[in-house]
Parts: sequence; C-alpha cells; structure tokens
Amino acid sequence: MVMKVAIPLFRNRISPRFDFSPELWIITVENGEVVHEEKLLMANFNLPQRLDQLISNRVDQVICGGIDPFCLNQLGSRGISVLHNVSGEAEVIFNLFLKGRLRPGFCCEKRRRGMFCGRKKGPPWRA
Amino acid sequence: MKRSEPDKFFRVILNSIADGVFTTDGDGRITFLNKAAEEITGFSSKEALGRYCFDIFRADICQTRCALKETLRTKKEIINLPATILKKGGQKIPISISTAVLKNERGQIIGGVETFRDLSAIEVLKKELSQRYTLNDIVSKNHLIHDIFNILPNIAESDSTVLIQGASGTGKELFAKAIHNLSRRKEKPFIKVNCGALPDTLLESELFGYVKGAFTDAKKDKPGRFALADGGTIFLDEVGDMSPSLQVKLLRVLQEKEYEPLGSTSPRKTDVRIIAASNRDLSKLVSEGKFRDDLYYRLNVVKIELPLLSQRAEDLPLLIDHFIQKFNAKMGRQITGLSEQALRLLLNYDYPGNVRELENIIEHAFVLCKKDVIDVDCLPKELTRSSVETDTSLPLKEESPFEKAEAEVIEKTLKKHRGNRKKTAQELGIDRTTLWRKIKKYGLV
Repeated sequence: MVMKVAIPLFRNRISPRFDFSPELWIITVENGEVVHEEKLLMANFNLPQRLDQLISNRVDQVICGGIDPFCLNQLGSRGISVLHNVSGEAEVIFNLFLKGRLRPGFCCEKRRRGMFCGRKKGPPWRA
Repeated sequence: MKRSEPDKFFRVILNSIADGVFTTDGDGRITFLNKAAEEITGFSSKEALGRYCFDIFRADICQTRCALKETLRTKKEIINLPATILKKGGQKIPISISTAVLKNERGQIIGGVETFRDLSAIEVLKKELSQRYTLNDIVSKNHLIHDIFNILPNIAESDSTVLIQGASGTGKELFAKAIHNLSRRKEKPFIKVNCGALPDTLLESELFGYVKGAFTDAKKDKPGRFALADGGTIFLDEVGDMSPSLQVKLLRVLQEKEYEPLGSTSPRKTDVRIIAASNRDLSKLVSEGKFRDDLYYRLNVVKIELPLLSQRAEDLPLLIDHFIQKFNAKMGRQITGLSEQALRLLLNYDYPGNVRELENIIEHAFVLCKKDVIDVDCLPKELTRSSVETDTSLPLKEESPFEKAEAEVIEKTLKKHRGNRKKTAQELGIDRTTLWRKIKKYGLV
C-alpha cells in the first residue's frame, strides 16, 4: 500500500505551527518502507497555497505541531488525516509513525538527563 | 537555593500578575512559566518546562523573527510587539510581546524573559468596529459551510460577480466581507447597499449619485455608492427587491462597466466587483416575471447557497460559545457558559431567524444574567414558551440504533462487573473517562 506523509518542518524539527512552516517534508511510504522523499520550500506560501501543495502532492497523512480548527477542518474535508500537536525531531517522530506508535499530542523531547516527555527512561524509539 | 532557579519570592509575585511570563535558558528552553502564561497558552508548567519555547508559545513570529532571539542577539529590549499565538487547543490568541535579557549577578547573560498580554478582548472590539471579517471569523464545522470554504479563496481571487442566496440571518454579509477581504481589492472600500430598504428613486441616487441641478434640491454633485466603492466591492443586499427599471440600470453596469449619475448626460466608468445577495429564490422570481432573466444570469456567475442554522445543528455549541466570548469581551463580563437546562432549550430550538436570532438570544441573556452561568430565566420568553409543549427532560436527540446498541452493551458489561467501571472499561477496550462520559450520556448512573 502506498501512502504519502507530509511533515511541516522548522529546521530538523516538527514545525510548531502548520500555517507558518518554512519547509514541507513529503515522504512516500510503500508497505512500511520509504520509497521517495522530498523537501519543498514553503516560506512565502499563504494558507490556500499550502493546502494546494498538499492536494497536488496527493498527501494522505499530515504530521504537524499546532494547527487551528479551521485548517484542521480544511484538511479533513479534503480527506487528509492529521496527527497534530506533535513536537520533537522530525525523523524521530516519523520513525515512530512508521512503527504505529505516534498519537496526537505526542511530545518526543529530551528535557532533562534521562527524561522524555511522558516517559522516565530513555528515548521512546529505543523502548 | 540554585542560582538558575527563580526564587520563591519572585515566583509568588510572577504568579500573581495577569500578564503571561516565561523565562528561557540560552538554548531557548523554558525554565519558568507563570500561572497567567499557563492560562493563555493552555500548557501547564509541567508540560512546558525544559521544552523549546517555540513548541509551547507557537507564535506566528517564532520561526521567522523570534523576539527573544533578537533581544539576546542585540541585548536590547523589545516592547509590545504584536503577534498571534496558537493555544494548546488550537485557538488563535492575539497578544503583545515584550522581551528582555536575564543576567546573573556577575552580569553574564543566562537567558531571556518574555512577557505577553492577551489581547483577545481588545481584538474582538476592534473587529466589531472595523468589520474586517475573514474566513477565520466564520464559525462552523458543518460540511455544507466547509464546501463553501473550499471554493471561497478561488472565488475571491477571481473578479466574477457573486450571488449569495440564503434566508435572513444566515450570514450573507459575513461571507461577502470574507470574499472582499480575501481578494486583491481588500485595501479598497467594501460598500453595502440594502436594496430593499430604500424607495426606488432614492435607491437610484444612492447607487449612482447625482449631478448638481438634477432635481430641485441637488445643489452640488453627490457621488453614489458605485463611485464610493471604486476599486473595491459593492454588496447589493436584497437585490430581489429591486424595481424593474433599476434592474435595467444595474444590468448596464454589469455589461458595460459604466453608469450615469442622475441628471448626467455622460456615462462614468466603474471598476467595482459586485456581490449580490437575496433571501428570496431569484430563479423563482425570474419564472414569475418579477426579476429580469438577463440580470439573473449576469449576477449568477458564481452562486453560494447558505444553509439554515437548523441544517447545521452541529455548529450550535460552537456558535453559542463564540457569542458568549464575543459578548464577554464587548460587555466586560465573565460568563462561563449555560446551565444544562438552558443549553438543552437552545439546542432544541428551530431558529427561524438563523444565526442572527441565536446571537440576539445570547445578547438578551447577557443583559438579564447576573450570575456566571446563563440560566433559563435569562432566555427570551418566546423561547421558553415554545418549549413548554416539548418535555425538556427528554434526551437532547432521539437515540440512533447504534447508540441504543452501545447503551445496551455498556449496561450489560457494567452489570457483569457489578458496576466496576475500571473492569468494564477494560473489557470494552475504552478509556475509563470515555466510559464515564457514555454512562452519563445514556443515563446509566
């Protein structure tokens, strides 16, 4: 099964805002394996242009940080699933998604020595 | 006490002020968040400490021109910078930001401090005054409205004439303003004319203006609404009420892009986008011979049909909440919501006057309500009277077959575990809070 996942980026992290991300990472996944990926510059895009990018790239799933209800509904009405309020490094988050262990509001963040959001020990991808 | 931690004394002070305050270390990770900041952002201190400030604050400027980063770079304070943050729940909150550097006793920079003020109430009032509504101001999760949202940016981009049809109070003007504010004409005027409110001769001079000497009292030239709207948008409300002679003149504007002011002999060119609206079915008026078919086809380039509020019942809670927030800001009140019985009444009402009627009901309740919660006695009498025939103790809606089956399964499983909710939730594979919610919903307590 082929699936296209889009992650709005801020440097190497999930962008804290869907509507202001400077970059969009689009990954094509086939049977759980990454078969293609590309990064698109979005810095000067307005909201309709951002939505157009997702639609023209036939994205099925968006993984993002903060998103307002209007954008959320816009994506939903176009048949795009959204995992939102996620924060952390984009690659780590994407790997968790591939393993089916990502849920909305997931925070994957090293905060103090050995402390991760919602976990006491070690990073979740090693658990 | 560790040097890097704000001491207890300052904590008490910072937690008692109404402005949000947070501090960061040199990497931009949050080291302190006061109570007001928790309330404004929606994130608790526990969730925020140690995380990057942009992941918590989520301001529109975080990724491009971070105020704190700029202050740490230049070592200069920033005062009252406007921005919009995204609350944990997704609501956009307008704020003003001030930043400063934090130094230790040796004068070394150890991080930054950001204070911010919630401007939501001020913004609501400003919007009321300026009437600059956008798509984000239309509150809805209804699929019919979202279908309109999907095409609205494209409609706005084009210069085509738009016909908005919908019953009174469905928000025709709000959509017209949203189209104008999304279009390239947004910096130019948006002029509204209610074609049903003025007699024929007055409406003609209102629309096209007149020249000196056109009639006895015309002592100087007066520009019409088309001239005032030049470069912008003219919104012709209740266009179905226009007389046949004016319909011909409007048709000329649409075809030739020109008109003649009253008493003038030479035509004037106009660059105006026309958005027309009517609460009557124009196609029916055409078939009855009351509206010109050629004008109808000219107006009906893009047609938007707005649903009745009764067709978008799922929007009621959102709209009620929206109007409570609006009137809290406008009247300086702090009403938190409605009593269960009052909410039940509002959810079961038909709203023949649509969203405008709902807004008026909430405003009426705000005037009468002296408590934090709106109760039935604060609602208009006709609303409570209309519900006398219907038993308000009945469930809000008739249960669907799925809900019936769900209620039965939950009841059986609860009995099996002798009312133990933890075991019931485990067997049903749902969370305990979800089970509690459903127990309450189906009255299984």
